[in-house]
Amino acid sequence: MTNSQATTSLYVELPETDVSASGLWSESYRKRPETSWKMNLLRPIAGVLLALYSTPATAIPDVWFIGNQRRDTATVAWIIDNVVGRRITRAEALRLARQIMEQAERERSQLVEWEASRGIQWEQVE
Amino acid sequence: MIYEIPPPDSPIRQGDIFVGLPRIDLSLREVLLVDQEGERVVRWEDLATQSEPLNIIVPVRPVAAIVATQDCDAYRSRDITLCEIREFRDVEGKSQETKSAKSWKNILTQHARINQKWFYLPPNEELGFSDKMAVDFLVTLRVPRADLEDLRSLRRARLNATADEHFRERIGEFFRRYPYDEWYALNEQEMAEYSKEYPDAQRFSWQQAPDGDS
Repeated sequence: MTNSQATTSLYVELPETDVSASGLWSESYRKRPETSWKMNLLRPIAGVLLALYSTPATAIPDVWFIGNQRRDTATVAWIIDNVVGRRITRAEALRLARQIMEQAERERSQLVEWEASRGIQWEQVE
Repeated sequence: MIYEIPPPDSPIRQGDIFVGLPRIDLSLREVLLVDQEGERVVRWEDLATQSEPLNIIVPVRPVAAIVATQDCDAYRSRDITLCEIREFRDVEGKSQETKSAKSWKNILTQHARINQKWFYLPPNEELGFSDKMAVDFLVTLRVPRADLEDLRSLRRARLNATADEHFRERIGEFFRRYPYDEWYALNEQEMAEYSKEYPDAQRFSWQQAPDGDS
């Protein structure tokens, strides 16, 4: 209900904006002008992220090397709770982004292990 | 084996396997917001009412993935959905200690009979699948169709006709799953056995032990 009201209100106030989905999102198929500060801001971020997360330059990226990486992340401290709401440096932001990803992968792995302990044990099925 | 190599200019189809597509992981508890003043960590609930697009930093990892979108949509829709492919042992925990062919047979054929969260992909050196792999239906990626068409060089293979029939059946079954309480009809003794395996199962009123019994 809140979203509908907000969307209606935004339509009234900005009738020229191309709205998709339920928010005032301008993700149309057409290219739209970007303000220079946004582009300048994003360019170095994209570069650093690309450098951080690219696989080694092999013909076929070894995407499964992550399995070993994931097992090494158990010791990474989860420190984000201490920084919510405050300004952080670019380096901190990149480190936290990596922790978010590793936490997600760790949680998926934990769920797999938990589910494996339940239900039919296929090893024992004749 | 169950793979075939599509012509490079072949349209994208369900069952196409790509290697090196971006999987993004978001946190709604910690959003790395970027604005004119720099970076800060905020909770998504603080941004949810924003009407303007925002810039955030998100981690991304190149992964292998298989096209889940059905062919007609893959031909004309704006976006294409894929499911991540990972090592089988990382997707199905019950296989982590599996070694014998007989045990593998039990695990790998079950997906044709019961509704699993994964789809098995056999090893294939040409694809870079050095071990048994699995499609994880729970982890999806969304990429622009036109961009993916430009990156068909990352498409390593496609499921052959037989495998594709199984794949579309399994993915269809997965996304029509709904929760149900399978123990509803068990009698007292059966329920007692069931509870040993699933202690969190809540008995229905007709399965309650009479007063005085435990």
